[in-house]
Amino acid sequence: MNEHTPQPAPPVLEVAKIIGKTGPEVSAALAVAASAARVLSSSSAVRLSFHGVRGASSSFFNALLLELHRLGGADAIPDRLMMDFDSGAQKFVYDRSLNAYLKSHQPPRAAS
Amino acid sequence: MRQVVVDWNVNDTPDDIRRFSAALGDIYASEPPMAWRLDLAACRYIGPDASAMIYALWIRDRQRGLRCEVILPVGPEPLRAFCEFVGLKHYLHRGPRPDPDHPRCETVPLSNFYQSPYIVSGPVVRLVERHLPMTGEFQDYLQTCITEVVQNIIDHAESPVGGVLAARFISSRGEVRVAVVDHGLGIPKRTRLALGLGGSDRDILQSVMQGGMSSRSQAHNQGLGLKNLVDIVQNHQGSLLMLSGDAVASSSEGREIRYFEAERRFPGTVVCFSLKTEPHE
Repeated sequence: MNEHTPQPAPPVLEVAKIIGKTGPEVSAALAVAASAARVLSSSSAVRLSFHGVRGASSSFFNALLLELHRLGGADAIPDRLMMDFDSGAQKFVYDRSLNAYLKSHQPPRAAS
Repeated sequence: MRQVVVDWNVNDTPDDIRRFSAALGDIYASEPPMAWRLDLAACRYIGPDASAMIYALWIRDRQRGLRCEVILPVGPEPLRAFCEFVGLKHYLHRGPRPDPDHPRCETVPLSNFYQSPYIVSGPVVRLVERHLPMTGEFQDYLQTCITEVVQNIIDHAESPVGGVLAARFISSRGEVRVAVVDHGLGIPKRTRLALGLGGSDRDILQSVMQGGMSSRSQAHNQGLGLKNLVDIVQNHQGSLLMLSGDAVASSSEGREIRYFEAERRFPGTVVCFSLKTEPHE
């Protein structure tokens, strides 16, 4: 494929619909990760929309990332995972969780 | 029976909450556990912080089969109403059940939780929503702070009383105030047990609140929860007080946190924070 060919927009998952009334509890993060992993099995990327989701804690995002890593493989994060937030708090908390995840899953450095 | 008299006002300030915790120190540390009476009759102000501490202690010692007695303040009228709205009268004196939907109510009644941080935080958000238009952004900051604290207790505290939460919207100060209390291991002891760290409770609490240090009680723990709480509260010009073991952390109006030794050990953890509801730069 030519490098200038536009990529199709990745499928969007509405997180609010997946977690329902229980809200962003840690158990719900596993369901979101499972849905995202299913999309990734047939698509190059997935976009998670957090529109309308309030109060997701670092534990929620940590559990989401770890479960997606387990189900979707090491290459899923961060390259194939896109996130949409409509609040600064959610982005703030997610960015910290992502940094912690990346730090703990850094590939070993090649010997020089 | 051990008797403690609190005849001063327990305002929602770090100094008063620390002093109140110290006043309860003999009950907290009583060995062997002993029946107690807490006399608040002459007190003219208590808020959600003291209420959550009283109710958590009451649950702890009732679980131990002890006789516990709390004499609630006799006035003034707003304080009598608060004791009703927050549920102290109901839980401690079999009074009427608190009615959080009452138009005059600015209080989230005491709740005792063991799980579901998102559900625990819901009534606080609804309380503030009832009293002022709230942006989605502020709602999110408030709910995120509560879920971080509650999740921390669920994951790490091993608290026999679970957690106790109370909150109040204080329109005159333009702030919402939330208190969460447990009688678990306490942050320094839990961290020391898991990581084999030395050092004082104060040093350990400081390290945990600076982020990245977790006892990893659960696989998803990364040591971010309290750091997120601290940063969100500070970014909103809020105040924060934590008592855990022998350590105290305190910050007012978004200023730098100060850490010091508690006058008396707190068996578990108290987290009190407030967020300004008014827009600010």
